[in-house]
Amino acid sequence: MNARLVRTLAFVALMGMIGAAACGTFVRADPQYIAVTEAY
Amino acid sequence: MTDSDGQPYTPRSGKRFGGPNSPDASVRPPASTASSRPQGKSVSGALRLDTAGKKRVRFKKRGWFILAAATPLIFAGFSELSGGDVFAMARNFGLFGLFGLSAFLIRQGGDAEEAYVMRKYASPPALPRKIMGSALLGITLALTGALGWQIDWIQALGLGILGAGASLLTFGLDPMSAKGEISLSGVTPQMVEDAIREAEEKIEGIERSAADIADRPLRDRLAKITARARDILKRIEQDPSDLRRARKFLKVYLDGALEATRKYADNQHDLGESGMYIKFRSLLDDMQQTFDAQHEKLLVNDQIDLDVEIDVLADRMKHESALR
Repeated sequence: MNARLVRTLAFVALMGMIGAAACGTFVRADPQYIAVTEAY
Repeated sequence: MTDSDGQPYTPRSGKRFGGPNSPDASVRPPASTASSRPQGKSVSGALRLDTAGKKRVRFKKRGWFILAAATPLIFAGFSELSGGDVFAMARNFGLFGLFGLSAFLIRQGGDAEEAYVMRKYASPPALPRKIMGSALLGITLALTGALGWQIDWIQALGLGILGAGASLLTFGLDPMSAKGEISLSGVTPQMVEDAIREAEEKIEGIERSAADIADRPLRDRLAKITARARDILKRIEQDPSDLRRARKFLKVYLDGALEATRKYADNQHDLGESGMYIKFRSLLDDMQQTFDAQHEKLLVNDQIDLDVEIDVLADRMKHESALR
């Protein structure tokens, strides 16, 4: 596979991982999320 | 607003550059080159090649996307603050800071790699900053997963390892070995690199001292001399076998030029148009001629040694008592 394509895919995956972790943290910190999980 | 003739007021810049609102629009310079040139995009998108024709460091700017992707951590921090959890807020801001530090390290590593790629003879960067940045990115990602996102430690560890791997794949490894081949004349890459670095420092010293000289013709002359010295360095970098012949030249002349410039810059206000000024000027003339001659000789790869000329000039410098 083309090295440039591999790099680009790795970059997209990296952004996805960082974004997922950051968004996951944001969701966990969201008071509404906390309220809903506590209600369950 | 009107000017003294009752004409509408036009700023000088409008008159000089002939914009659409300038007076006398018929006498306008031809369309500027900027508008006839393709848009910036095509220029910035152009391939950047090094001296060997290889493409230069890629993806350097992508480092800042890391920060953009980690931005939700900032919102999470404020969210935690509104929930009254200061520690969680500090943790989220800290994680964002760590992502920023990784991006910074990777970018610095990219800069160092670019400097390495641009040179024909270079030693590897002292710190492998791209690798360090990628490792830190992996650690931060694992911490964010475990502490912020609150997934399993095992999963977080996997996320961190995958992230570090993806970062290494994207940004690449730092250059690890010294670059440049040993020439037939036995000049090693290290020798070339050291000689060039030393000479560069001296040239910069001359430029710093020259900036303090009030007399503009002298400054111009010094600028020409330093430009020529840089040409000589470039020449040596291209053909290291020239180093042996040029080394003494670089040592004697650059040292002499640096010393003389420094002394003149320090004492210029006490000297005025004295004999010292004239001597310094003629010394610069001589120096310029010899630099030009040296460059010329390196270019034609002449086998005639310059030692004799160097000795003559070295003697002359010794005898410039006014400068000592």
